[in-house]
Amino acid sequence: MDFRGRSQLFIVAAILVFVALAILFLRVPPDYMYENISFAFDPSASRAFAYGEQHFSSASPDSYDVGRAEYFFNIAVAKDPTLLYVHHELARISFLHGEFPDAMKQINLQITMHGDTTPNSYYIRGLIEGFMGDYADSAKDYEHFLQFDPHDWAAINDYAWVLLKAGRAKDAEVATAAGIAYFPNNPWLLNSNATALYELKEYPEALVSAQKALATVQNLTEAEWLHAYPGNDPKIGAQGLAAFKVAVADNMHTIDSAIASSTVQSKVLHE
Amino acid sequence: MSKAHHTHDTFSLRSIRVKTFFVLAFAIFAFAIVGVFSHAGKSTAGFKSSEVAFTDASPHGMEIVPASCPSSPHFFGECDVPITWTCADGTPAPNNDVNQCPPPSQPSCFFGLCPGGGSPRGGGGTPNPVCPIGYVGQGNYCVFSACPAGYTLSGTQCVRVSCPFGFTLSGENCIPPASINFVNFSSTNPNGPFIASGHLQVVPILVKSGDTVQVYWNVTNASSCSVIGTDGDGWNTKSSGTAGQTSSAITAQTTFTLSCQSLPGATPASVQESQVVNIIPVFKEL
Repeated sequence: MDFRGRSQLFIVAAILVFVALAILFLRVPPDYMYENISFAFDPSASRAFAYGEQHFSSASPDSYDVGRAEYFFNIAVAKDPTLLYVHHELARISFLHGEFPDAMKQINLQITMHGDTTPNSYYIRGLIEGFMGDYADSAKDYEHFLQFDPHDWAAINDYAWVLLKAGRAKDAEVATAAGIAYFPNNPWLLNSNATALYELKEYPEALVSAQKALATVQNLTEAEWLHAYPGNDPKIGAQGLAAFKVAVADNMHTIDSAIASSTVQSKVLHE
Repeated sequence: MSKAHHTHDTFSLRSIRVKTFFVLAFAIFAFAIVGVFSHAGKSTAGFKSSEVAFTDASPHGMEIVPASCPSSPHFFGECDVPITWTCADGTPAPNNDVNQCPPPSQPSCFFGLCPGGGSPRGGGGTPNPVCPIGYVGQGNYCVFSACPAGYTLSGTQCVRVSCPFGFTLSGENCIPPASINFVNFSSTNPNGPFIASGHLQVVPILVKSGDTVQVYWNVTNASSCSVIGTDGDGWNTKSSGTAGQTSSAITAQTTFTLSCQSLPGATPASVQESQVVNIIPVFKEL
């Protein structure tokens, strides 16, 4: 190659390097670059899973990125489908996307492969089934999970949710009352208990629970709310907390109206 | 022979340098490609973002709020630890329920119903959020204690009626006094007038032993000022006047220090600055 040809090649190479570096530093966050390059050197399933976990926690607002978590979980499962929680996590991500059939496929795979080794996979399946309207199976999965973790307030609360949806208000009342015995100030349980009592038309008792729920939900912080939803985007913490407060206040109003209405009715009957 | 050998060496060296450059360029380019294109950005297309819907309706229209605490592999067992609640006095809440704490004996407000826009306090016995002025947290209540100085009770609210000395009452707020200020002025120095900055200035700062100097300063928004010289001079005024103050005869290095006290409540509480006057050394032929 003559001198002229070489210098032209030199210029092209320099431009390529400059463009690549410009793209690199302008587009990609430094921690992502670090992950990409580290992963290029050690493309193991466990590393991919660990990176996926890093991007899938409501406790880490800076690194929360469900798309990137999914990317790494997919790599992890392709490299080692026997990894302990990999199908569980893919099920959660599909669930977040609202892709319930895919979520069910993944969680069933997880339970088939690992069974009771990962009991909270039953909880996830209960959650998915609940959203799909399959309340009977959902209740069974929650019951199975509660055998392993009987004092888990969130599981009790969600168990009550599907019982209520299935029209089993009495069972929901019993479950939430048992939970409240351990967690007397838990606004989720108090709200579900108030709902169950309302469904049973026990309005004065429902009002007491709703009042307690209203009192305790005022004290709930965004961090506590996010703790109850570990897969949620931390950015929606304030929105979720506000929605919870509004729901409890609305329930109070609904119960108040029911009490007022039943008082009027009984007055009319007596007259 | 030697010249030909030298030419061959130079050519090889250049060739190696060019190759090294291309190898390095390729390596950087490869890293950039790996770093950028291995799923670089955030992808949230189609992402609903909530692990569970915020609320769901019960058969008769109540709002159920599901949670999802046990969903994460790392959260197993984290939602089964009951919180230990305490009353405002630090004692454990009866049956771990702050609603069963002793009822407050003073006027009180409950949660969002506190007067004056004050937020209710937490039910866990922690002083958060804040009670209205004059109220202290107790369990789920903000209980009236006493209005602090400068406030009076109007209905159930403490209303500000006066401010600490030096502050000015503006609506509900006490406005602090202005900070110390240095104001420039035209001096009438015997050696030629100049604009003095208002800060402590000594003219000249280099004198023969036995000479005097002029000291200038001009301060506003101060409660008091003084200028003290290490030679024993001293003036207790906020301004030197346009002519300045004349020192005693300077016979040794002298430091003049201006100290001003701010108006009550203003920041900083005081200001101090110094100037040094030196003596021109006298040389003697031996």
